[in-house]
Amino acid sequence: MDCFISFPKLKCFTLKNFLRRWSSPDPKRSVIIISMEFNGKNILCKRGEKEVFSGLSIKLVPGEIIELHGPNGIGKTSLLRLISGISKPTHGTFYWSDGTVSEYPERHFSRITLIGSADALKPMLTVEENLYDWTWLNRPRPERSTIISALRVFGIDALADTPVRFLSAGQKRRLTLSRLLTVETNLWLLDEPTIALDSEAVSLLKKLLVKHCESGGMAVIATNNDMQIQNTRKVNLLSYARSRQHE
Amino acid sequence: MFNFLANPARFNQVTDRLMPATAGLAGLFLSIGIISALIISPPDYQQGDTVRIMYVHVPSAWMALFIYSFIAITSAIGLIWRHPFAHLSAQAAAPIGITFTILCLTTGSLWGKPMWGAWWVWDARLTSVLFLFFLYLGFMALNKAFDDPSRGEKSAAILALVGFINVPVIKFSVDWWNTLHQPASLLRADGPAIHSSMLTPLFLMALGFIFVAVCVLVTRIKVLLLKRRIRLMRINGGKLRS
Amino acid sequence: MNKLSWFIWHELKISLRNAGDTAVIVMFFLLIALLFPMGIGSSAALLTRIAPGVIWVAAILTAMLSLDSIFASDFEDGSLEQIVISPTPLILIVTAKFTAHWLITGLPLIFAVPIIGLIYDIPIKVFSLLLISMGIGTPILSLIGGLGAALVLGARRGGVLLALIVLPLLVPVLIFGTAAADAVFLGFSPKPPLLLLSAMLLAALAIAPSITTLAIRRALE
Repeated sequence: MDCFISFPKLKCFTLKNFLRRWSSPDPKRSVIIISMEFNGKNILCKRGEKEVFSGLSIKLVPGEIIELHGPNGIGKTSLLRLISGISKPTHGTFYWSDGTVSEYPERHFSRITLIGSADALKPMLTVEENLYDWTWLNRPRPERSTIISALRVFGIDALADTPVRFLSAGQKRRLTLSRLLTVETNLWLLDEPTIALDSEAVSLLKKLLVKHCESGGMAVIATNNDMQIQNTRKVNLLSYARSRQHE
Repeated sequence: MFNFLANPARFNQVTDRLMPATAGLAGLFLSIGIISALIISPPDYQQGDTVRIMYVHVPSAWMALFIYSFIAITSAIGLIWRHPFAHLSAQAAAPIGITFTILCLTTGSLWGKPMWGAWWVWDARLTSVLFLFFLYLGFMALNKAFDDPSRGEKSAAILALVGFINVPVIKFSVDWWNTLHQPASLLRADGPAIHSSMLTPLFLMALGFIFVAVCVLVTRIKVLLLKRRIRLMRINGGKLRS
Repeated sequence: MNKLSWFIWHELKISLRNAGDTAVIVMFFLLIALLFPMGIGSSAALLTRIAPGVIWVAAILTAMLSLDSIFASDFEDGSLEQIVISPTPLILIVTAKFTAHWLITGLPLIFAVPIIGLIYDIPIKVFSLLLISMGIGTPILSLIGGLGAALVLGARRGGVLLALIVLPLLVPVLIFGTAAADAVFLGFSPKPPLLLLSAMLLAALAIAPSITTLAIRRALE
């Protein structure tokens, strides 16, 4: 009679499914990147109970980068959290070419990498252990060589056995960015990735982004510094803002 | 029913019309109940006039359990269908429930001193009602503990569901354990074990309590709805969305 | 090594390298148990009689102390977000965390009980029953306590709040854990309380991890 309440879709729970998820590592399919579009339609975003922006639709085709711009508090980080699937949009849907995010959350999670402002590093573990455990969280058990070569790209392989608590902010940032190399995903979500990085690391990141796009990847970057990468589309969230202070 | 009332405007409209009748019934049942409980009903042959405490004690125990069940059900609705109105009604009901729990514990303790010779005994029924009190307290504290109110209501709802285990424990505690507290005398397979001269005032009081609780609950829901609206207006720059 | 045991090991590594975490917890446990004789006098018979209750109360308070950290640091440094958006099922990581928590804070207590047993002069039969009831009961502390810790993630004064909501839920564990050891003093069979305690463990194993995942997702949303 009234659309105040809608029944949620329950996922079929079978013993076989349960055992598969518990006993074996993640299915192989998640490793292969299949070029695919990612869409968000008519998104309304709330931070707590505050409506930040609404009516936002984005479309990402393989090889495309979107830079999110806009003043502080406009919802750049909130949008990244929405896209990643940590929080769910109050209105609107995100979907890949082969299904919505809410219907197939695990498939979605295997296609994204989020490098947020919080580093998710354990100070007591070494650089290598941190990257290794994170990689295994996302993929079948990794090889040690994969980890070391990712660290080498970012120039921190010499620190592999150093506990993370001895690293500088820039070195920690390099370590979090090296996650992009150990796990291949379609969509990179980067929140102010250049903070604390020196110019050498910034140009390295740009090179990685370009390579990622050439192989059919996509990226959404929340930043106020122009990254100056070709093929980048800039979206200013200001035009979707709901609150008066930004009008 | 829930679906129908979940719209704040309609809720206000319906309850505004029903409120005078409910309040009138509450007053009527309570006044007749109190007169018949304190004056008309006979004193117990063993307990004397102390038995009159029962007319407050038993209905408030029922209400404490009933309101907790209400909170658990609305919490489940709120968690499954993500409806803010369900969380709001649970939040509105909690202080009413804790009041009845305190009333139940206090009157029980007043009765226990002359009858058992102690204000408090560690018996299964008493202990489990004390936990009910702490569950209410935890629910209310968790609701208020977050900067973002919607976070608090979800956590509190999960707690309410987990704590629901306690409700059957309270109900059957007098049967499962050998307790000082007397076993159930009303809801029994072989019919109530109380004489009708005491049963009638008891039911009148229970009905009075129910109508009072409904009145307070409706008023509290209205207040919370208004508070929420003010909060949303404040943070979303004057836009009224509920 | 499969994924579950790897992430149990991951949690253990973090705790064990925070030098002395476990040692502090065991010391706290012993200290609470040693406070009671000072408070209520040194009558040997009385101390022997109350020993099971004292040990269980001390175990529950110790669990309260360590539960705060089970998800809080992951919540603050963003690890919990990374776990939630990984293809690994959240319930696997939650199970790993509960297991690790019990290994670090529950198991050492059982090894510390003999020391208290000597001080309180517990008879050997009571002592063995106490060890069995602790073996069954301490995992429940980790499971129900962990659920509570997930509920208060991000709350103000989370520690006090955690105690307020978890302690009432843990009282049945205290009652039956103590009852199993007390049965010897009272001349009852210890079997019923132990069976009830086992039933509680099974129920907690069945519901706590899944409800915790629900609470964690709600906390991050």
